[in-house]
Amino acid sequence: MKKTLIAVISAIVLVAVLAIAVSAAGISANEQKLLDKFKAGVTLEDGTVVTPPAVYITQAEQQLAKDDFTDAELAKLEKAMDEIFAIIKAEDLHSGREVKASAKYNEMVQIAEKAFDEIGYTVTPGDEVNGANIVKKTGVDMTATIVAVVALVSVLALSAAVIAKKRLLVK
Amino acid sequence: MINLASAYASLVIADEAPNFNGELKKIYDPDAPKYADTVSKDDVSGTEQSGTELKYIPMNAVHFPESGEQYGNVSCEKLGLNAPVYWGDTGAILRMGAGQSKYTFPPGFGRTIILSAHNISFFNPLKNAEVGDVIKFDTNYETYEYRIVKAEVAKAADLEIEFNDMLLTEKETLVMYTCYPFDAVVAVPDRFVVYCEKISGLDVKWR
Repeated sequence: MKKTLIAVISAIVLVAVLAIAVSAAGISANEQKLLDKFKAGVTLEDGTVVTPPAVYITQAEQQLAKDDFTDAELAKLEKAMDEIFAIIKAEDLHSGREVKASAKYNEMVQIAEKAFDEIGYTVTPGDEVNGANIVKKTGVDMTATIVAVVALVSVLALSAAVIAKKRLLVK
Repeated sequence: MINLASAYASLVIADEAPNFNGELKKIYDPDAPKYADTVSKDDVSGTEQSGTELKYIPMNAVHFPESGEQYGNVSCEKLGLNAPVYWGDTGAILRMGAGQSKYTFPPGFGRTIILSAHNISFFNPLKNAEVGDVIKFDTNYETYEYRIVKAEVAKAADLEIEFNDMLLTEKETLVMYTCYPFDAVVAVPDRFVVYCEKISGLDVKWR
């Protein structure tokens, strides 16, 4: 079974965060379930397994460890991830480039934005370098640390080919 | 070319180099009491932590570092190594100390830790590193020790693949690397890297 490591738009939905946790308790059982689902990715019709790159997984883990999500918030994120995964499968999208070029791209972005909106965030897409700007609706700018994985556009742009050309881990 | 190299070298060598990035900040306090020193038996009585020794550090007792924050310090008296550790590895950070890849985890999380620093400054002492040497990584919540188990020269491109493979490994390994050779002042393809296994320090309970 061919396995492809690509950036998946659902990564954005999963790691939506910039909430500054008052008391982060680490990754809860329900957060772990969502994380496991995210790590498993989506299997396309031809058997290709599309999974997030390791750098996105660790970032998702970090964010879930730092920030506490209610079960209701997790449910919203999971629903959005399921919808986006379904589109990727239905459209047979094998790479970030295909996702971005897809006629369903805007629909996926809107699904992600809606998920953020429902848990109290607005998102301004960034790029693979600067990430996204996520602002809590209270008006407080919480653009502290942004990672590429939370950037709508950057996740789509970072295909495996791009990762191979650009060193993320070695300076 | 010589003048440019000299200028570059002076920027990375100077101990008192200015903070080029106003966003760099320090949360690390070497004099702050560690978590174990702040917890009394009454605090953990009746919990799974009750007993004679603490078993872990709870996540809510740890400030997960933000980009640009100095949150720790690595040292080795034998090697003369002593470098502040920042979260992130931007150029501005590498001028001030060792930078940690934000795709890795802080000490105590049971996962890979990847630090980089310049060869002619903060990580120059690694040139004398040997298997068996002990590296101390001090944070506000705990002091960790790691023993060097491997030291080698490798291509940066190869390390990118190797480090990526290590990201999800469920074992705490401290990796420190720098440009090689140690007197190079321009971009080079090789890196000197040491791999260290954890030998002491409380785990953080984060999942």
